[in-house]
Amino acid sequence: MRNVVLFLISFVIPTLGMAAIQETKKCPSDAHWVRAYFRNAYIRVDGTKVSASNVAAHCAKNRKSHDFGFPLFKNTLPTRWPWVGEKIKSWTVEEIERVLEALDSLPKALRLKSIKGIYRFGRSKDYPNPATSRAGEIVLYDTALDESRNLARILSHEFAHEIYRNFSTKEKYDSDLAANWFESSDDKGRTIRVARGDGFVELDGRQSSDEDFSNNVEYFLFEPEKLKTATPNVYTWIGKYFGDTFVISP
Amino acid sequence: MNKKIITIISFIFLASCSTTSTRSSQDLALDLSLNQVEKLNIGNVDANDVKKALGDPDQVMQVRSQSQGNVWIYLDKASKSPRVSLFFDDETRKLMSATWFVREQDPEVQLSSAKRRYPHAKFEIIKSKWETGHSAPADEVYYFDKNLGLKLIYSPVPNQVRSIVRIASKQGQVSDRTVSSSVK
Repeated sequence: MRNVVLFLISFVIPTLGMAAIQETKKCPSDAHWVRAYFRNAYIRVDGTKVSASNVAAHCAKNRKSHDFGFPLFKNTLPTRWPWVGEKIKSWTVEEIERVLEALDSLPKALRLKSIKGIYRFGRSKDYPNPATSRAGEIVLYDTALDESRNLARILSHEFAHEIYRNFSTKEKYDSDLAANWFESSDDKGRTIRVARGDGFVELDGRQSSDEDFSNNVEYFLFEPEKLKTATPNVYTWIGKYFGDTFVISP
Repeated sequence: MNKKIITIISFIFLASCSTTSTRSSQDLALDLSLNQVEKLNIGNVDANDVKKALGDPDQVMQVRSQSQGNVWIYLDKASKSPRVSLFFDDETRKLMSATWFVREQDPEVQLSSAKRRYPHAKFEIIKSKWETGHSAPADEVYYFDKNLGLKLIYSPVPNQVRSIVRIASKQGQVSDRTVSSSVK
């Protein structure tokens, strides 16, 4: 028995380990190793339906968002996460590939350096909310990865929240002015935010200038005509602010 | 993202509004100063008094939320963006607050300069909280002196004072403020 154990320690385990390492090393420098996995059906950003299938292990060519996106996947809790009832999950190979694909389709202006982590949670306290964010951190829930959901669209919305948080004073005033948001204070010094009367692409945009901005950026990218109709002023402002390259690339 | 989520941020009331532009282009040529705004006797003056001091507002909005009243907006001449907003209470008809929007070229954009402007202030530091909603608001820190009726709204990112809020002070008039001679 002792000999068997020694044999395993001396030869078998190292050999298997070496094989695994060599397997990952087979990939060229512009590619990464993807373990075999079962891929659920989903819809690509351009509307293409991708059917469920077993994906064999392979070297995948690094996507253009690889350097930005790959280090962001975290299997831990975000810092100072206030919603204690929400449970973390670990990223699967399939999910990582899907998020990277979605990131690839987003304009470069959304790949913000201030984002330090994308976290994976099970169920939102506000189910079926697909995503939540705070400064530098985005959490994706199970629902974000549902077959029917447009993951790139969800991510664009969360990145837009980060842009709004990072706005300088001037940028915030300019953006709020374009969207007809005004700020004041009541007799106790508490902030009052006054919204325009109508012209919201989503109803929850009435709730805050931040939410309104994120909806508007999302619609600018994915349903521009709706934004143009609802609030042309904002459509023009976003176009000028981000420039011509602010488009989805399927 | 969940469109059913109601985002309610602590201490932030949202309001439906109707807006009216009232200020002429000639009035726009007159830029307001923080000193002018701080001379307003908050809690005691009404709309007519404010018009005499600052002129007609550029926009007037009705606020229908927890606080009910009218908001007057005065725009910055160059950027045409809000410079001052004033809140008049529906019931008393008195001016209840003045919010000065700090510009990047203002000395008060630096927290240290803004604090120097109020050398007698004893600030309580309050950090903004994320209480509901699917996205945390930008981190803000409030430097609040209830006795002076003074609140500085400071954003650590991008390290700027966003606005200076004046409300009726517990000690009397807001204009009781002592301005440091080194800061204009």
